[in-house]
Amino acid sequence: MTDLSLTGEQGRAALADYVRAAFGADSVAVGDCRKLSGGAIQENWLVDLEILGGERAGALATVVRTDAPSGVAVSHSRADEFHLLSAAFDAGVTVPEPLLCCEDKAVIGKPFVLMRRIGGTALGQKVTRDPAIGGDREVLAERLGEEMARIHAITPATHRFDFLPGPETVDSLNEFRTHLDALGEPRSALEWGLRWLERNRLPAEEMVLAHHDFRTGNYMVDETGLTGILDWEFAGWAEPHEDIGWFCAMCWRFGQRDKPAGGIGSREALYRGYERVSGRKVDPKRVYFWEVFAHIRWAVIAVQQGHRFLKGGERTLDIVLTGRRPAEIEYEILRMTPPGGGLVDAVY
Amino acid sequence: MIPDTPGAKDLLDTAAADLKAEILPHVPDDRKLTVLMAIAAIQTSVREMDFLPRLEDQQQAALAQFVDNDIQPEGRAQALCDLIREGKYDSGAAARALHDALMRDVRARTAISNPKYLSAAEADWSNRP
Repeated sequence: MTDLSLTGEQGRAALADYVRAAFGADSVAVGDCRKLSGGAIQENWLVDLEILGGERAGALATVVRTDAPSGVAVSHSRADEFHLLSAAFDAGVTVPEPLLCCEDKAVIGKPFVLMRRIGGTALGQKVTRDPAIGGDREVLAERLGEEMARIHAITPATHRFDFLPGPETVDSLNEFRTHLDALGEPRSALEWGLRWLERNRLPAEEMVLAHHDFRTGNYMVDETGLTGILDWEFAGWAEPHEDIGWFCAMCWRFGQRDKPAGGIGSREALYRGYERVSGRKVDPKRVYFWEVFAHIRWAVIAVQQGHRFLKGGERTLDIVLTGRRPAEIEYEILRMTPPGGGLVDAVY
Repeated sequence: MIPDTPGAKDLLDTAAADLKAEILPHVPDDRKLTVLMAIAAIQTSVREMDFLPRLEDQQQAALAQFVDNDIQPEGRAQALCDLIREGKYDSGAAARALHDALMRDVRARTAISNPKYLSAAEADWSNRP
């Protein structure tokens, strides 16, 4: 069988030829080319290109993103992700510049997206703990609020994405109840949380494009601050507070419990940036609701990871340990939803 | 006839301690996470050996308290979920009793899977008004 992947000469030559034709270049040489570790759903390759002639002549540091062997059904295809990333780039969101999208499997064996590489690190443990990166943390939290607001400026009125379920059909709460039911694993603490959500639901807000995984660990920072928002594979129409709740949820603070904005800063800074750019007021009760939802969503995903280990044959350490995370997430859910306790302002 | 000693817990405890003290300091930075995850997996297994029998008893007793005992034990966890979804535990003393039992259960399970997280979370929540 022919190996078209980027591990072999043939795949690299095919990539170079594809880029040459797309950019109208005279020639393209592939320099350093290596796969990044991690990425259960996608593979990311660092690829250095040397381009002679054409609109992009010169050295170009890129990332090639392809599907990993085991995709997740709910995540977008690379082409869909490219459309979303392009819309975000055009809306002024700080993202890696999308360059090319190739759906032809004949080139490197699977569809891929080519993006300009950005510097920095995304590792949550490092971003939340290392003061040498990310710049001033309150400034970073405020900046992230601004970035989220720019994403939320993309609405069904301004954009059409035919591959996304229509905004009128979106029901995040029921979606995750369905996922939980499909697992066939009765989890009473999650059921309690879902019931609480059902009883405390507020009238729906206008729909916007939500990133759906906007959290520490999915943006890159260097010594000066933010360099880009990553991982657009789950983006879709949703209520704006869903992204805010996901960003602030305890499960994405990486142990920095006293820093509600993603383990890096204050709610005030995040909200300030968000409100200034969006012109929309953050409602602390809605944030609380979506933080409870965020924990349920993450717990369901963690249970799914456990099933990937048990039934999907993916027997890796990170997957099996994620499969043991639901207990601590359920702890937060139960604490947030005491009997008789309804919606309160998100404070802590 | 008696079981062999040192037992499984001794073996795993020693393996985790050696990984931490002897191997971890010499592992390149980009592989440290894998070793840390291996240590965490071993330590969780050791705690589970200690606590699992008690946890299972506690879970069975709680289920017997909150669902109809005509239901076979293996169907009780699902039955409890159904009752919660139907709103049978929405309010009053029954809701408080169930919430207490659920808290007891997640505390016990988190004590096995991530005791450090549990301590930090308990300290944080106890400081809130």
